[in-house]
Amino acid sequence: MKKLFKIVVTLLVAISLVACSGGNNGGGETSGEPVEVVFWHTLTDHDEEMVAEIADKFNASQDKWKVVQQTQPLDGFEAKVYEAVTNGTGPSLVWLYPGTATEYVDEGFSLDFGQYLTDAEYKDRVSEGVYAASTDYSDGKLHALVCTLTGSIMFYNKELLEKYNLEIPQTWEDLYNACKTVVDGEKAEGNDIIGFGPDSRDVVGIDVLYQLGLAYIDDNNTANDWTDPKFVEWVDWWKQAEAEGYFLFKDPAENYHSGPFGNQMYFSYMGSSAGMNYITPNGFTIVTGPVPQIEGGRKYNELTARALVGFTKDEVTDEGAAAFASFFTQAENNLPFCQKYSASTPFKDVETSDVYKEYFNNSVAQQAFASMLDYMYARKAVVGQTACKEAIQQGLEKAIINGEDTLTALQAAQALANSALSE
Amino acid sequence: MKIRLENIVKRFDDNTAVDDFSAVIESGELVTLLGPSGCGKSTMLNMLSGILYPTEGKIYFDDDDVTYMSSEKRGVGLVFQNYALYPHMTVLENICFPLEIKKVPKKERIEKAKKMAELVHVEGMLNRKPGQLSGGQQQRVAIARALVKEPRLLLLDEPLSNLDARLRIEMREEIRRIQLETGVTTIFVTHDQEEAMSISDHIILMKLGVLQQYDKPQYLYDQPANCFVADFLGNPPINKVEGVVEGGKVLLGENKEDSQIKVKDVPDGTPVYLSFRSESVILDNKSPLRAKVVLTSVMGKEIITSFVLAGKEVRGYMNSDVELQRDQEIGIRFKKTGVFVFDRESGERYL
Amino acid sequence: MIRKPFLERIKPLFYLLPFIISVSIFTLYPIVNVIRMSFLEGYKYLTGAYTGIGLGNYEKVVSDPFFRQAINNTFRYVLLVVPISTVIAVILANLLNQKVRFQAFFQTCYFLPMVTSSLAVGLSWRFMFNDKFGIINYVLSLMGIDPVQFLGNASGNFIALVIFGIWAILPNTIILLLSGLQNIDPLYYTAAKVDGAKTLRIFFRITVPLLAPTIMLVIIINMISTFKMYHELFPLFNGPGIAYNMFTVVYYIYYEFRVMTPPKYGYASAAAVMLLVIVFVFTMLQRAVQAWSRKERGEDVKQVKRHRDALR
Repeated sequence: MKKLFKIVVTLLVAISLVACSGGNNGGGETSGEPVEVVFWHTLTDHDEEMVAEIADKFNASQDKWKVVQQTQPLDGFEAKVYEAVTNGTGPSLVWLYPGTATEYVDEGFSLDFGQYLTDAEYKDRVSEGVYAASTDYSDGKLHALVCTLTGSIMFYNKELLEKYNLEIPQTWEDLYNACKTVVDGEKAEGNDIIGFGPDSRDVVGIDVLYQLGLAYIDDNNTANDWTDPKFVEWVDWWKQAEAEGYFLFKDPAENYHSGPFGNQMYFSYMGSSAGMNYITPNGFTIVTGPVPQIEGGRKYNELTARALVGFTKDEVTDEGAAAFASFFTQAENNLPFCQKYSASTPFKDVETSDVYKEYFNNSVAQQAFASMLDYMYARKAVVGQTACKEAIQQGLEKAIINGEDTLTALQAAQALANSALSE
Repeated sequence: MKIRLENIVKRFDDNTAVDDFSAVIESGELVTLLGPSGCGKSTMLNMLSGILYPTEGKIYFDDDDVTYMSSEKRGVGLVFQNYALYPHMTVLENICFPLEIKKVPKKERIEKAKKMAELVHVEGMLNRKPGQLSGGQQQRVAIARALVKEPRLLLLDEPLSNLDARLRIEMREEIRRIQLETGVTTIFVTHDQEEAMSISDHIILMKLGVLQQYDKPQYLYDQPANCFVADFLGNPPINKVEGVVEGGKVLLGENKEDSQIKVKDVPDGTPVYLSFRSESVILDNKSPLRAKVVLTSVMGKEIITSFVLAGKEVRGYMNSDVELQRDQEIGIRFKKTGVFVFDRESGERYL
Repeated sequence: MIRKPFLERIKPLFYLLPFIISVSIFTLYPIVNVIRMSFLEGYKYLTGAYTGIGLGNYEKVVSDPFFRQAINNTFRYVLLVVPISTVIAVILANLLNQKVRFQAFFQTCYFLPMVTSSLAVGLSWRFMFNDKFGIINYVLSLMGIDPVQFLGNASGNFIALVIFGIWAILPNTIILLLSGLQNIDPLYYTAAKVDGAKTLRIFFRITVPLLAPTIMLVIIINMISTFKMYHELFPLFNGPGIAYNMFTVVYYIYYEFRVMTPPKYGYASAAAVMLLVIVFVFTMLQRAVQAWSRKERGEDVKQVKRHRDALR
């Protein structure tokens, strides 16, 4: 027994020695082994394939770095990034929003791409607005590389539009009337259909606040207008439409409407232009349109810029992260990525290429998106933005779905947002 | 209540547990079902209680055919080997439970239960739980519970086997007392012959599902029906010496020593056992039947002598003043009683 | 008495060391750290910086309407799911304990939920709960009952959650109760039957009281697990119900910790500590009741112990 024990111990020691020396050898040859650059994103399906393709290309083009791209679950992604980065175990690059960097800049975690990129590589290729969004931080440095521009658009069932002889709605009233016609008409034929539903409930609230001439978060970084009578009145108007069965604020069964819309369970829905490739129309044609506006109000729709945000690690890794970010945004990669992702490009050189023009002209989503470009703005990046987004969504859901008093629900939501903003 | 059992047969699959069992148990008697384990006595009890139904035959309580009647309608009280007192109920609740099932009003229930507790001498522990009682006390409670509903028949399934030796004697006297006081017809199952002998009016001795003998205890001892009965009863066990019948004489062992015992109408050459009780042997040096002393031992006031008779070691009580030495040759003869001759194969009794 | 030499006396400690170390690292440290974090205001995980020490997190959490809702939901959930599932499980365990035909088949049916992932099965429940196409509403409509919006409104959400919760908790409960039932000497049933007791009386007067120690155990275990309910929310509603109405205490912890950025370590920890206290108090209460009832039956300690040994 004792002998056996000795043999086991000897073996274990021997194995660990071999393993250690092996590890040391690997560590010593830094010049031979490429440095890993970890890239986290939430892209799936065809989008992920595209990212993998670009990463492979990058890895093949040089042998100094190796980009490892990883799809992360969408639920709690931002919190996961935050925790990993603050723990020092985070990725070098993430696929998020320019605003995401805000929370990291002051802590010194956020990578400044400007150190590594020339103006020709990024600044000169984008519009002033996009560049401003990429540098809108306390230190004014370049902490985000915007890769795609998307925004909410309207998707309609073309057959139903034509069947009831309807124009593409421009205002919320138009949308209500169109839904009423379609739903009532279909119901008469024994066909249960929902008129309209939004993918992002926070975007609806934010859009309407601005359309009413109010602010989601004002210049003093507070939320004041959520309880404005105009907004309350509009929410009550929606509640009415919901009660009548024309609108459905939140689908209890699905996160996104692309599925049910494709199965003709909805006449229309409001969703990201990037969702286009996820719809499989089952026996109908898709028409797109602009996001409904308040009649006589200020035109507004939220612009979503998706960007690469970097986190500092060490000299070599940071340089690799910046190199890959630059590679990712170059025309030859950005163009196919935009096509796959169903997005507009922020880069002028891509925009003017023939291939892009052809893609753009053939994409109903891009046209709807482009038709609103004049009045599309990115969401204000502030500390506490997650809580604010949750708050507006919660206020609207409680009022519309739970049937709570609108003003009370919005007051509670506004208080919640302000307490997060004041922290 | 008189019980009549007519040709009872009970089979489990291929196995016959009770075979063609017939008996009449007189009202008010305490009858013991005695036998080694596996003899079918518990099966018989279960058929009497209605837990099992016979495969064939009839059971009558007085004139009622209860063969296929359910337990509760028969009016039997059952006491289990390990008492099966409900551990979550107090003594009083345990005794009351059968009455509760019968929907006897609560006041009457408690009254009856208390009376029963007095009868079995547990009136001082009515509020205790079974776990706080000794084995003997639990037994008393179990009897009270079985008797409280005034059953026509009380069944006791090896009720003393979980008790230590001293309590066992005390409790069997108690059971006898309670039975006599209530006058309930009682059937008592046991494998302990001493217990059966001391408590019963009659004993039914069973073997492999077959009734061997049904008699008064002393009669069973004095006049065993067959070899098995003789073997089963008695302490020390009956002595058995192999022999053969020749000319009406029983000759013992290979040397065919004449035992001086005669049998009638038994063909020559029949192999037999000469069985005799230890107390039926007398030292008589004039006797031609010789034996050799092996050992003498004093058991209390009695002296028991082991000796070899026809090549077999046997034992006998010999009230002799002569001190017997080891290897000493002695002569013996038998008394009139307690000496039997059985057929070696069938166990049939010839004398 | 001669005292053993010092080394002899501390020798057991060395044998226990691996256990003590692993418990300290994997059990004690996290608990202590959560308690510590709950008192640190404005705590930053990486830098370890905080703005103050005090009850700020607790004040904030207690006044948070989500937390109040979470407490309300959690208590309602526990108070419904635990008794209902216990009653159903006692009945089912009894049926499963009978010698019936296809016993193995029935046992498999009831234990199946235990070997399946509740997350995966939760998704099929979501389809079953569907307001329009779900089988449950279909059956209700066959019985002439108006469809329940299991997924579409707050009260429906709660009903769905309770049904799913009971379903998910049953197999474990039944197994524990079955083992308890199998520990009951069948002689008690025979004795009662000879006295003429019918099935229902035997069940209530004999089975249930004798099963009481196991039932108590099951209630404690189920209370602890239902107090910690939260993962059922994901397959059913993708979050805290249709409109932020199904917060539970653990979901609240998850929400502050995982949904909010930057994560609210302090709030999450304070909520976790409060849950710990609640569960602890209820468990102690249960144990007190159990000890009292055991004392009532006095002698039964032995049986309870046998029970526990059997469960081990």
